Amino acid sequence: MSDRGFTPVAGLNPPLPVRRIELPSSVAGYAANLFNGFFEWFGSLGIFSWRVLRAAVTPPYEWRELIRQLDEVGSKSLPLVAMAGAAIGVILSLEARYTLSRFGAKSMFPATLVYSVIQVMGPVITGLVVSGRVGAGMGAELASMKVTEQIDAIEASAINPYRLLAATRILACILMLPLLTIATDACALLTGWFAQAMVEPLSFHQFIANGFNGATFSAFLPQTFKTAVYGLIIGLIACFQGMRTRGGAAGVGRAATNSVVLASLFLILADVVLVKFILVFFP
Amino acid sequence: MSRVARLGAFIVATLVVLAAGVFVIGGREYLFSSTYQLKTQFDNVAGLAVGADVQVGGVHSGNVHSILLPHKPGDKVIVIMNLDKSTKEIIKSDSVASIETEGMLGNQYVAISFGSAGQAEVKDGETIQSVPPLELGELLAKTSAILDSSQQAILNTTLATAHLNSVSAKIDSGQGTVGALVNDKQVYNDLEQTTASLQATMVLAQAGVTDFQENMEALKHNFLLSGYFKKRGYEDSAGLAANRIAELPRSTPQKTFTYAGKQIFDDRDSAKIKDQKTLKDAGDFLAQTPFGVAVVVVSTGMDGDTQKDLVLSEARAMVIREYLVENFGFDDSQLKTLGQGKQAGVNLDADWGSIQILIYPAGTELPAATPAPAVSSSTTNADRPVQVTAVETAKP
Amino acid sequence: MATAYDIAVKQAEPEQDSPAPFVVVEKVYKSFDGHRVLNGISLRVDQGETLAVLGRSGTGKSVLLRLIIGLDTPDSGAIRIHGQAIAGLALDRMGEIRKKMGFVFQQAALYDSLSVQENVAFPLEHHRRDMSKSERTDRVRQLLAEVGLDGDIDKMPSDISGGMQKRVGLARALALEPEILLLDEPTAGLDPISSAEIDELILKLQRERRMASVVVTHDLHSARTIAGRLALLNEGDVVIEGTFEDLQQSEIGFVKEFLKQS
Repeated sequence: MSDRGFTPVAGLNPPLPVRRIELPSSVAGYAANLFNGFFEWFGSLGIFSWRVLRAAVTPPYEWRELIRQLDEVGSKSLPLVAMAGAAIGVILSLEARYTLSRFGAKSMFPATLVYSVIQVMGPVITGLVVSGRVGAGMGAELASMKVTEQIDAIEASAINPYRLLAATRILACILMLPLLTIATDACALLTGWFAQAMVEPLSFHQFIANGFNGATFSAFLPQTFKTAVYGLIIGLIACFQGMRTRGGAAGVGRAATNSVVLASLFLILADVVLVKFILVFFP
Repeated sequence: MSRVARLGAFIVATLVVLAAGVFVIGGREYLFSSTYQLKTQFDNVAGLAVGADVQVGGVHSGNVHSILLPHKPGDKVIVIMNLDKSTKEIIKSDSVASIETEGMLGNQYVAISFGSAGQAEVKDGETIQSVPPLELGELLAKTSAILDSSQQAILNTTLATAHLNSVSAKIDSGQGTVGALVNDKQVYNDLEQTTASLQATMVLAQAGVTDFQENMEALKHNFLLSGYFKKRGYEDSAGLAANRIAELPRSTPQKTFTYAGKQIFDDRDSAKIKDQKTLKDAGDFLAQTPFGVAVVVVSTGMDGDTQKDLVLSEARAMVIREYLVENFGFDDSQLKTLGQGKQAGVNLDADWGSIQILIYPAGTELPAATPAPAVSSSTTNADRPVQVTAVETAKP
Repeated sequence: MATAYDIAVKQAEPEQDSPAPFVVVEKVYKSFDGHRVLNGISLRVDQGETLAVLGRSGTGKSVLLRLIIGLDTPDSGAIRIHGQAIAGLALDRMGEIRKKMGFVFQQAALYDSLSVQENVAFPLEHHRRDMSKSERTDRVRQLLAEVGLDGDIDKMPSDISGGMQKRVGLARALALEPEILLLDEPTAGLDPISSAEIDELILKLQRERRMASVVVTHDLHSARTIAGRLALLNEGDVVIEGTFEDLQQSEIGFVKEFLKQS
């Protein structure tokens, strides 16, 4: 039984230097190469995603590795994410107080903080922070495994590296990002309240009651769970960049950098679409 | 802590926070307390949204469950609200629902008034009354109209202020007499002195006038000058207009005495009576017969200066009147004079003018008196008051 | 003189009284970056046989091994394992075949986040779920003992020497009792004594398990020790294939040169 025209094994090694259309001696030539490389990257990403998906849904499942990755992505990112959340809370609190005072709307402070944290700042900050830590970490780890032939060894051991390495990591990112976002939100609201309460007396209960006044599920839950999409982006790009690395230590560095940069970029771009999506489907 | 335990702790902790959030939001959405439904109807819900607050007595007690559009035009919009069970005791069948706005530009919410004690309680699914919402749009339209007219007023006031400013500016800069007055101390000082000296002069003048009048009076009776006065027939010009009337009364006189100037007066252009006996008949009639008004009408011939003849006719009338008043007993306020001046008529020149004494019956109205144009003292520019130019201010 | 290959080809024809050879490489071409590394070569290895593939460094010997285990695909030609062509197989189907193969990488390719024990246990944990944990542990100890590593069971790969890493790699490759063993430069970078030790080890394992082995090496001495047949590659072609004596007696210039320098 064979898949005609489908060579799964060779796919981990990307085609050696991109087929050049012409020497880039002109701007047009350079642009053409750029476009070609861009499309090739996307094509490879697509193939990679398909393989990961296939591997993820077929047994035997790699539960141990999944648990290990959940811990790696989730609990180990918690301190960083909590600190980022705390910082954001203080920053927003200070800025909001100043701006709202100017407009005579100080009573709207709790709502301002709650809405801006949960709807925008919490998800985005969590996404970017995790993209940095996890994206770089995963990208580098998989890249060095690739250059030391460990991934080949896995495959030679009749174990599907897409299932063992990529699927587990990506799934871990998808599951852990919303929880990390909740942690960020909680820390931000706590420190935001605290920063305000130090200046003017404001009980936490009052802060929460006012802040969530008029809140509905559709105002907060979709924004928190859209970070699962962020997780998908981070995991997918980090694993893809890592597992197709070439070129030794420099390649590892490149893989790590590219993972972070591309993941962050796609995350922000995806957010544009997601926000619109949420507004349409959860009015 | 083992890896799995740490992971588990993290997951549990975040899920607890999530659950807390769900409870807070759910609590506000009344997911966790028992509620009942009330309906109300509006022509227009002015932007009320599903899920909006419902307040009873200002306290958040529920939310809007759904808003149903009517099926045909003319029907009302139905608003279905979820209310906390605790409000059943205070919302009665006479409670009224209205749509309010938080602050000026906040969200819409439904406010339900307390019902009165003794009214029936509301049941689940019942409909309560409503009042139409105040639409910010209408309010703004009215405010806009007011603002427009206020704007016009402000504009006008601005113009007025501008003018006044320019005037003040001119005064300030010393333009115009007032300006000079305001700014130039010298003028003020001069004016002060002038006023002082004027006052002094006035006092002197007054004394002088009195003195002068006395002198004149004496002169009149002086034998050297009295001839002029005698010839003229009267001493005092002031009396010429004293009893003058503008026109004859409208009714028909009951008696008319007519004389030629020759008969009475000394000379063609004199007001001296030479023959007093001629007037006796008239005088007797006036004294004995009750009458309303009597007028001495004098006219002259066509030759001679118009102004002089006018004066002459008035003088003659006055003189005759005086004679009659002094020699015959009747109410002298009823006897008036009318100097007509030059008149065209037969024999007037030859007769040196004519004199008529018209006597009207009792009850005749006195015609209005005129001010004295013939005897006017000339005025000089110095006496005219200082004029300040005034600008018309438009009425707001 | 008929090469072993010719005999083997004859044997492969429809008589089939001997089982299909374990590994057959049939007219395989492979190019990288426009540069052809394998120029239509053909080889076969049978049970119990050890074939040494020799040649200058960087001439595509490692590529051959990767083609055999399916980590790369040939541009044309076929690779057969137990008569089964492996080109284009789905990953999981290929996995079945790979369970019967062991691959020792040039740099051992140990999982550096796992200890020695965990490295060796890795294939067992994935493919021998039927074994209990203690059974697996025993098996690991057994394997490590076979390769001469006893006391370092909990050390991390970065803590042990290159030679020891290769032994661990070997132990890991043997974990599932493979029928085919592929070794990529087993003595590369080792001192002569360690090289000899490794050669001894391989020889011992061969005798015990009777696997079909393909060893890629540039070390002629090592090849001579462990392999029954040798194939010399030059510029993508098999220049000569046969026993060591065959090579010694060859008149081909390259062979003479190679022998002279080794």
